[in-house]
Amino acid sequence: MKRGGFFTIIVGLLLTTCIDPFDIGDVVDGQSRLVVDGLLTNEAKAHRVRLTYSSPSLQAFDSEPVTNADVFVEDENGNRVQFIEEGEGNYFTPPDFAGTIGAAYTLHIRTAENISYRSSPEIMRSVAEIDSIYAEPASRTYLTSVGTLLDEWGLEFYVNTGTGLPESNFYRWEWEETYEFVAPLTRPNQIIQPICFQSGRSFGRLLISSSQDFTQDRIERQPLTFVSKRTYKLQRRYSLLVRQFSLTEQAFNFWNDIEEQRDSDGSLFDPPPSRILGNIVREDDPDDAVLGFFQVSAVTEKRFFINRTEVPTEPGGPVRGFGSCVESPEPPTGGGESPGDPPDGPPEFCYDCTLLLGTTTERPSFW
Amino acid sequence: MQSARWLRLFFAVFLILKTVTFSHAQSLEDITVSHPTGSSTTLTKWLQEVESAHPVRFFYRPTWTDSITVTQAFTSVPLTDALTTIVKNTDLTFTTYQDYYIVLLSTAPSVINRANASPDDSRRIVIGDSLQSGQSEATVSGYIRDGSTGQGIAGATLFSREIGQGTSTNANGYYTFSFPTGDYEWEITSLGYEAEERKVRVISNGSFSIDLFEETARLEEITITERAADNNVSGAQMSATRMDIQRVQKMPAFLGEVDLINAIEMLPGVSVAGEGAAGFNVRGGDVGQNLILLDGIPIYNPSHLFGFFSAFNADLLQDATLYKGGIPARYGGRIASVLDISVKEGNLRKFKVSGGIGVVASRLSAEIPIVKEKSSLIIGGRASYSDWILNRLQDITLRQSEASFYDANAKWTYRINESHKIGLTGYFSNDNFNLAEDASYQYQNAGAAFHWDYLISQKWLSALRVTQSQFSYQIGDLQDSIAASQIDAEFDQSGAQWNLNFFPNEEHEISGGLEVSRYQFSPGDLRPEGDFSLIAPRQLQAEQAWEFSGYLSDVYQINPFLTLTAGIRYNYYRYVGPREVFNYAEGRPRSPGSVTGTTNYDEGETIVTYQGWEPRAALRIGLNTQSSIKVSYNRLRQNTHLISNTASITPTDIWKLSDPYLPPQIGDQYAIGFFRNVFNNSIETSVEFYYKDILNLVEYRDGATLLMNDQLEADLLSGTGQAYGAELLISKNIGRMTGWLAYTYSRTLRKVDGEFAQERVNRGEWYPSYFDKPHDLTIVGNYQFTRRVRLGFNFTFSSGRPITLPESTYRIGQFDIADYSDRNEYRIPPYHRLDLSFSVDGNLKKNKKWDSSWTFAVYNFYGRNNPYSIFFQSNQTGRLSAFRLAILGRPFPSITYNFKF
Repeated sequence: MKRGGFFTIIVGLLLTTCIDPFDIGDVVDGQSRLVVDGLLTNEAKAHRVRLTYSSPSLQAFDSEPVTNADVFVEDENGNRVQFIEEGEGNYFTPPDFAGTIGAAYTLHIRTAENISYRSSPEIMRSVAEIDSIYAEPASRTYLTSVGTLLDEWGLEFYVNTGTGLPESNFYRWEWEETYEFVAPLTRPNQIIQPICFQSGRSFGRLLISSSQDFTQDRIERQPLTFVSKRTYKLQRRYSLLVRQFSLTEQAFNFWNDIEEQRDSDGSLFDPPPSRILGNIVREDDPDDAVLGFFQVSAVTEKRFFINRTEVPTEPGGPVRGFGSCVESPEPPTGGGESPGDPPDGPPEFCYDCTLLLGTTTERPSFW
Repeated sequence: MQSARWLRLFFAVFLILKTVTFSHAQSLEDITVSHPTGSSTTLTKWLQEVESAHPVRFFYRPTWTDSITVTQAFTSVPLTDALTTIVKNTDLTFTTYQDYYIVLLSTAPSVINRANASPDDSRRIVIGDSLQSGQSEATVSGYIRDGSTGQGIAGATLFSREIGQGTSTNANGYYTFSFPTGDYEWEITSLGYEAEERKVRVISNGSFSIDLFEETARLEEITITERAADNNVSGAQMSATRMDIQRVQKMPAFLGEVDLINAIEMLPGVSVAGEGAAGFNVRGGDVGQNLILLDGIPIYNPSHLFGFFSAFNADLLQDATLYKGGIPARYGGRIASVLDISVKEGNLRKFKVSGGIGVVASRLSAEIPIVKEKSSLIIGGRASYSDWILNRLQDITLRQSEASFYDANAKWTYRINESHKIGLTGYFSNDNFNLAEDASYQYQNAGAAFHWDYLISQKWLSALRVTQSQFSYQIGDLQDSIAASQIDAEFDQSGAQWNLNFFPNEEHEISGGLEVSRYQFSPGDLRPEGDFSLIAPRQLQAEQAWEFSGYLSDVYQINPFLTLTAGIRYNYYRYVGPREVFNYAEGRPRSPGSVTGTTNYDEGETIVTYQGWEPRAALRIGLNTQSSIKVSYNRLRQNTHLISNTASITPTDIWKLSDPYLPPQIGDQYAIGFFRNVFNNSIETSVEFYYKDILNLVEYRDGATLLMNDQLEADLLSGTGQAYGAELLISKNIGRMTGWLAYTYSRTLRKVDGEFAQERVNRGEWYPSYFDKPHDLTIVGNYQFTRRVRLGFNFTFSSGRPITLPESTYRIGQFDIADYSDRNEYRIPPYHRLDLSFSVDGNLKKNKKWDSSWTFAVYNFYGRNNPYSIFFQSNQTGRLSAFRLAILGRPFPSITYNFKF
């Protein structure tokens, strides 16, 4: 619940709030702790556990990898699978190992300094199939550079899933979008108009939900992503691959704590932040906190396609995209590409889409 | 030394009159006296002997001289030398007149028997029946009233310089006091009113009442009376401050709105966690540990708009007293402080209207006399209109949001006759917030009280109060349509309180009483909202309890220097069903997973009881007329707990009753204070030291979920608290420049040390409370330029509050996460700010029809960017950065127009 929001009403009311960057480096004594980031699924592939030491500053890319550690996972029957280090701090299972639904896995780590750590047994819970992925028109309000409020229209993509049984389940999603488009303009002597493809992932977005407060396990209208008609993503064909992970209750709480920390705006109305606890414990000193989580999830995935013709023109009009290319008195907002037009004509990519970054003309296998 | 001087003057006049008929042969210098060795004679007897043997007349009071013995031996020593020797080391001095009279004078304040009539009889008011003359003492009682409203003035003083003693009126303006019979010139005063003097002759028991009129120009702006030692009429109360509302109205106010809570924060020992934090902290106490009473109605949330405005409309208040320590036995229920606010009674003589128009809120109130001199009604209200500001903001969500409040007060009083007075007080307030379409929050405070004051006789006073109070809130979460929900909570408290005061003589003031309260709390009712919501409706169990208290206390004035207050209170609490109580497995930390079963209790069935004594004691030792020492001890018990894991009262805070897993909080406070007045009482100073121990402090686990948690006991932890500090106050009440300086050094710590690791915080070590601010300095001043124009300023400085900060960062997936330190291990930078206000009053005519004033104020005059908190945000790629949030980082001006007619 957006508790912090109440606070911003009052804050805004006063018109005089100031938020400015602050260097806490002088105030705080930095610490360094073991961080475990591991995911084991029921897919047959090389599963990764990444081990680092936390960085005693806010620049997390300084995190020091933990090398030469002995890492293995054990199920409830004592079957062991060893992780091999490849690249500093990254440990992988053999590429054909797949976890089993219903089994409980315990991660063991012994560092080069001979300190042992162990996770609690994590059960791989089954995951419901994705019922459907669908898109509906939606709008978002945004602030233009001149300070006015405008609405932009687009499609919000949703997922429906759930077992429908009176039980509590916990879910996490990741997605990958791929879209097909062409440049809007053609030079007079241009014969071929290349077709381009781009992809994107759900980076930096935490999508989790649970049915613990509901009467039955049904997740409906879970929003995944909003695609604006002002971009060219919906211009020809758009595809969304949704991966759905099952979570244990403890893993869900872990992600929920991370989400709360990210939502926090520092007001007095947020509960005081505290260390996010994971499921790893140092064997000889349980008071020495270990960060991160060893996740065990079952995965299911589903792909959804939508063509340009399926995108309703009302409300919000047709898909525009390439706004900066079309000669009309619109503010140069475009699809997020180079700002501002050169005074003498539209930029090159308006004629040739391959000039845009991350574009390929190779049609993906699933298209 | 006033009485001695006055006396000397009188005697001089008297003797001058007598000398015309006398002439004396022998001079005093020639008289020699003796006293045999080894014999001891009372001074009285010795003086009588000297008088009969020599041409000299002594004037003295036998009670002084009876207690002095002449033991020295001397032979044929000059009389004056002998007297000098005798009175050395006593509190007597002497002086000679006309070479024949010797007058002995006491330097200690005392009572003098004055049977002699003054020649100036004609303009004297006679009290009592001259047929009963010849008595040595008479009891005088009566009312001191406000001349324009007819209401009694509480705390007005009737003082007699002749005997250096006097009395003050009670809450109804009534006083009673025993005077030795004789002639007096009484001073009747009350701050804010023009003083009156009356010549009276007291013959026998009788009554004397007088009207006082408001001062036309208020030169004394700030009233903080710590009841310093120079005021012999005050009780032995320490650590209490009475705020006169008129003075509070003169302080620079945020957005032009006078705020009682803001004024209280300026006192030593009182602090707030930060701007926008509702509630206040007294001597290291939590915001939920303050008992706030409005005419006896308990108020749960004393603020509007998250603490920027208090819930009390100052136009309708009479006064407020804050007890930080030495809490009298008649109060109980919260362990840190008592804020006793009384609502003004309507004008009994004239119809009056007053109000104010401000930037964000306006107020209006009216006083209506229903039956002249007997019954009146006062009603008032306040409303805000902040939406026009919100519509102009940059932030999209804020433009679509709403924030507003309103409140209303009414009080009807009816004076049946001189002995009976009844009244009815009502209060209602509502706050409403909507954050775009995502979330909403409303809360209401409502209450009513019926009071009946019965003056049984001159010595007995009874007061009965029946109250009903309700605090409720509704939280709506509408962001995700499938999880759209609303939570309703309601906290009801009804009670009755009966106090009896007995004044057997001047030395004792005995009071006693009984109190009963009934609590009914419904902490959370969760319901789905809208058509898509899949939220299962759920209701937390309601809880109910009874609380009975009885107290007895005596303020005993042992002698003019020593006053002892001894009080005892007993508290009995009973938690009753219907309720289903969870049982937890032994030997494991309490958690939802360790539940072994439930026990069911029927309606009214006792689930658990808690009871105990609450001794209250205070001693005042007057060192001399300028200074005194006060010592106090009190113990208090608290059975209603504010469960919160945030630093301020927030929408998601819950009030909870003591139950089998949550014992009452018990606080012990020891305090000692030194009070001294200098420069002829124009400057008052005081230093107070206190130490507090708190048992059964309510704390919570890391990451606790407090909202809609049916097994709250699994997330709460029991801790111990400790607070100590020193408070210094220097105040100047007279002159063009008035104000005070308050400095407090204080610490408040807590410790949560359970059996299991999950039940410990910070490994069971002592850590600072979230409102621990070691240094707190406030300077408040008011400068009266002319009789109409004044400048007010507040300056405040305090240490930053403790905060939990990240000690390292790490990455999980694409997210940067901060790893936080021990709870409250670090501190944010210090806070300081200056507010200024400039006021111009309308004309000063005494009987003006329309009274108005303009106030221009600037809050945070030099725009200090006070860090309120430090928080962290990830940007699009998940990178974490630290930001400092300042709430009122720029100067905030406001202008208000106030009127009264």
